[in-house]
Amino acid sequence: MNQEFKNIARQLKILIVEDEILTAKSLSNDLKKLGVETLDPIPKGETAVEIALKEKPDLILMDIRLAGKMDGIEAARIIKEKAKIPILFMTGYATDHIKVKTQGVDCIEFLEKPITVSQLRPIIEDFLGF
Amino acid sequence: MRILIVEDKQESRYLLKVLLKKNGYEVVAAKNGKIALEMIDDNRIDLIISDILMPEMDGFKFCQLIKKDQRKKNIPFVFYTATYIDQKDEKFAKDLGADLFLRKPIEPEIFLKKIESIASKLQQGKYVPQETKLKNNGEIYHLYNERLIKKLEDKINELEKEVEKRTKIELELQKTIQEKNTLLQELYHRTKNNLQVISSMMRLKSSYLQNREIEKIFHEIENKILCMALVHQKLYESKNLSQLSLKKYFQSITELLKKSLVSKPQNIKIQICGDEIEVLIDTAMPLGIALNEIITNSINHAFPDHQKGEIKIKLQLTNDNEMVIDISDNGIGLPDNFDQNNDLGFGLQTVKDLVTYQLQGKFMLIQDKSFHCKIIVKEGLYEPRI
Repeated sequence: MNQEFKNIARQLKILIVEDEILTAKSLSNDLKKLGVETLDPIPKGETAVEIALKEKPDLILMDIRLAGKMDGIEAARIIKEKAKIPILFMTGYATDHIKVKTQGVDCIEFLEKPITVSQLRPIIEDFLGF
Repeated sequence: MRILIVEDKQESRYLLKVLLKKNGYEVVAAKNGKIALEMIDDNRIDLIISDILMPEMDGFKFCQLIKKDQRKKNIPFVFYTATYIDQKDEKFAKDLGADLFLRKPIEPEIFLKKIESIASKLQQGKYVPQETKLKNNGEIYHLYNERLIKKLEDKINELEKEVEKRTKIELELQKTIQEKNTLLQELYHRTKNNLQVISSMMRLKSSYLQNREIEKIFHEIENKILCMALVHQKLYESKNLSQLSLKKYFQSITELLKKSLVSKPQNIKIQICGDEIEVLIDTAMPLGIALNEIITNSINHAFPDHQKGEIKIKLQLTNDNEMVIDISDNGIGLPDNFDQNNDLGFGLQTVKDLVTYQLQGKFMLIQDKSFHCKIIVKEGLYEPRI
């Protein structure tokens, strides 16, 4: 199953939106271990919207606090309006305040940082129908 | 029955007008005594309801002039007041010749009943006009001044109380701000301490390591953690708890590296010069890690065999608000065939990523005999958070 999983996972296209480069790179590295390739990570909400609509990834891992004017919640809302791309929020503190702010934005999961391979694996498996 | 309302406040005028009209009275209105006098000259008025405190001509003055005028003195006069409510105000008003002295607020039914009683007497021809009891002008002026001064004193007392209240609130606000600052300082202090504890844990653990290479990696990560701890220390020491001096932060980083790197760099001088630049933590942190990488590289690789050497860091703030950080050493330099795009090791790649990705700036390696690079960044990517 591991090899089969990796073969299917390889076909996935994942976009990471995260303003801290070291966090983005480490996450992308973890996904690589699962056999999933990621697009170049994006630090700004505005660019994330542009790239998401152009590249149509299978999944977006979206940080909430980003560089620039637009935060992750706003970026997700705009992407969701124009395309059916599943979005997963990542945040330092999944407080009630943030959960209220993300209400109405359809996301598949809320992950609290730091995000580990063991958290990601079941999500990817679920996503691939394993 | 036509009633004249004299009242400066538009809202009160409107309410009174509606109330009286609804009860069958014809109503005209003026916003002060002066205008009211002119209106009485031009219209038949059966009853006057007047406020006291008004601009141009107040109710007391207005009443005096009505009672002095042979053609007007028989019109019933009602005071309706919110500010002059003293017993002595009432006495003065009645002595001037007012029929009624009503204090605001008053139930509409009671108000109407009082007006009604005068109106019915008028209609039945039973109304007896009030004469003014004050015939002597000097006496009127004296009493009138007394009322005005009393009003002024009340107003001053009121204002003094208000000032007192506001001073108290201001002190409370200052206290709250002070508490916020104390809280933030405490938070920075704890963050710094926690990071230092993590670094100490790594140091302890590394003392048991047999492998020199791994020990070196441990030390480098320890230094990065301490570098981040320093940001919090600098914020703690800063005046506004939001921005820190880049120069002082860099100075502390170089001191930290000089005393803690495995290859003790006694022969290496590090010099920092240039502009004082204040930055937010979002800018300081990545720049600190970048500087750490570059200086660590220089100390470890630029001066083999305990060579003497110098590292220079120059800070500059351009007119376009760009920060230019120029870092160079006088060591052996990068290898001859070094390719900027492919040969960056983990350290320099991290520097490039931090600068170009996280700070959206520029990182340039400058062709030279020795190592030389430039970092150009602009603040404003993040809003101040506190």
